[in-house]
Amino acid sequence: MLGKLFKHEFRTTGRYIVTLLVLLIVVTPLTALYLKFSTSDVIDKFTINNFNIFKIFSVLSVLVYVAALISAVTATTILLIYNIYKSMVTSQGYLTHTLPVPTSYIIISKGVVMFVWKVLSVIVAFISLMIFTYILGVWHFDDIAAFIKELMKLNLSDYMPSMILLAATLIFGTIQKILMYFASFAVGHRMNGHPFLGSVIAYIIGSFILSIISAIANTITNFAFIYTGSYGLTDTIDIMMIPAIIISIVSGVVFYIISVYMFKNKLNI
Amino acid sequence: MSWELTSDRPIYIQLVEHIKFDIISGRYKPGDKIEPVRELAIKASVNPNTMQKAMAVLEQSGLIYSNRTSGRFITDDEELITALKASIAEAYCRDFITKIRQIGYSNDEIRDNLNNYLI
Amino acid sequence: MTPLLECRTLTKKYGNTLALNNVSFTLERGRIVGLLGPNASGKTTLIKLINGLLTPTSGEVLINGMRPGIESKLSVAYLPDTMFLNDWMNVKQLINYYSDFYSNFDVDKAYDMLKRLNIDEKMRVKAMSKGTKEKVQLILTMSRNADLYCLDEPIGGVDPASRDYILSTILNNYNENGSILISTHLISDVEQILDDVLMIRFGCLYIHKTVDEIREEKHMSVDELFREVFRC
Repeated sequence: MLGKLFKHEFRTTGRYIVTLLVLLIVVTPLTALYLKFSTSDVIDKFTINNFNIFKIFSVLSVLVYVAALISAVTATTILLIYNIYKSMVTSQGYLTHTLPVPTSYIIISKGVVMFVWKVLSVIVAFISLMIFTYILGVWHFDDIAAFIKELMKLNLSDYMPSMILLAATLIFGTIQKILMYFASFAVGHRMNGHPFLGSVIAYIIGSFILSIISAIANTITNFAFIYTGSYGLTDTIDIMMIPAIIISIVSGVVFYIISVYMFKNKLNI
Repeated sequence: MSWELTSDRPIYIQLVEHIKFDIISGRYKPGDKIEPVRELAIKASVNPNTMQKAMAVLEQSGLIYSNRTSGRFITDDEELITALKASIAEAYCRDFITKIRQIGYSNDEIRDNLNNYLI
Repeated sequence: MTPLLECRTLTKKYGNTLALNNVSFTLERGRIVGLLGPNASGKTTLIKLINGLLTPTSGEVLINGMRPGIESKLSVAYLPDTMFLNDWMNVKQLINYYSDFYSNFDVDKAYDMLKRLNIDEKMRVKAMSKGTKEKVQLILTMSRNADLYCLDEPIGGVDPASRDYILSTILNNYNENGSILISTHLISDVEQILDDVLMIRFGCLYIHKTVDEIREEKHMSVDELFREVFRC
């Protein structure tokens, strides 16, 4: 059943997410080429009275590209949040919640799909940036070999802990955020007549509590740190990531439990 | 599509009357196989349980009998059918006479009227 | 023999509003039951409770002796009175969806009913008229071989010809092992296909009788009785 939920969830969301990401990939070379074209010598010929229309649009093209890049990533998240809301709290929820599957499966399938798309959107954004900068001649293919050579020179084991901590922070942080959306809807939808407003309020309260806990945890870590003696800058960052990771994991679990409990036992649609 | 059913009497009784009429009018001949309850219920747009009840009444009266394997059949007993026809005809007549007497016709006037009408 | 559906002192409160008040009854298999009452009398609340979309404030609802859960969701088919289908899906995808999750979904029956209505399998929900959407929802629900069908206002807001179609679909899908619960306020249209009547008034179960009992005892149709009971 879980597999089927995954399949349908990917299908439903993939329709617009893939379109969005493909759009980004298509827009990238177009804006990059335009930028290149408008800054080339050819264009100078079109200058009239120190005024060149193409150059003005060159600025716009950069803006368009940056906007597209940022919105692709954020729009992915927003569309997916809306998908959760629509399929679990609105009238579509009548179908979702009467499927003969455990509530946890519904949340897990939607959560995992959202995670995959979020990661993918970041990867695609990165690829898009690479394409953009490549077209503008910021780097060439032989740069890759040189880059790898430099990487090889580094003593990877020095950087391993930091890399792992960073990865853990990002991964658990993303999962926690996703579960927080679910928990907000799970609690907020019960607000009679205004399920979305209730969810927003629940989210704000949740964020607030989370930030207080984080502040306390960070302060404690800081003091514990100072007490035991000081280290270098990179070590500081590493150590600070630990409370963040722990909070992400614990709060993620809490949000998950809240979501399953509320949607299973306190459903009100 | 659906049979004419009024709202003030139990439906199954009206279904019994409808089928009885089909029998005496010859729509169902003696010995004919009657449709299965479900099919008949859908035709009449009524609940199959209600149609089943009607069938039970008709079976009790002997107008219909059921064969375990082959279904339900109209009785072969022509005398029974004739008797039923007669009792329904009598009810019509009684109803007619009552109504036409209310207008004020005498028996002779009634007979004349009928004769003219039957030509 | 456990009854198909049983409600025991079922109560549902929304804040201070009592939507359902101490409702108790049992439903056996092979019955077509009308859940009758004016708007906001608690009919939809009762149906949602049966489907696990709401949880009782007190009392319980049991389907085949079990509380609403995964098993009951497989044996109860719910037709809400609003649009609940995914807009972008087409008929074929909807049928795949239903047959994926409901092992008792009869694909052939669904296609058969759709063909008779000339609904193309490639048609998207978004492109359908309201009447067609309602029929598709009905077909999908009735193509499940469930024990209990809960139809919430299946004929409200529908033209008379479609009403006939819906009622004959319901009759066609009747089987002695299951029951159909029809919630409606259009009583005269459904009265002759009902076995039993559950009349709900201000969240309370006011009457629970068979249609024949009502006609014999009160010498009026259920529709007339309803008008009398709920006279404004």
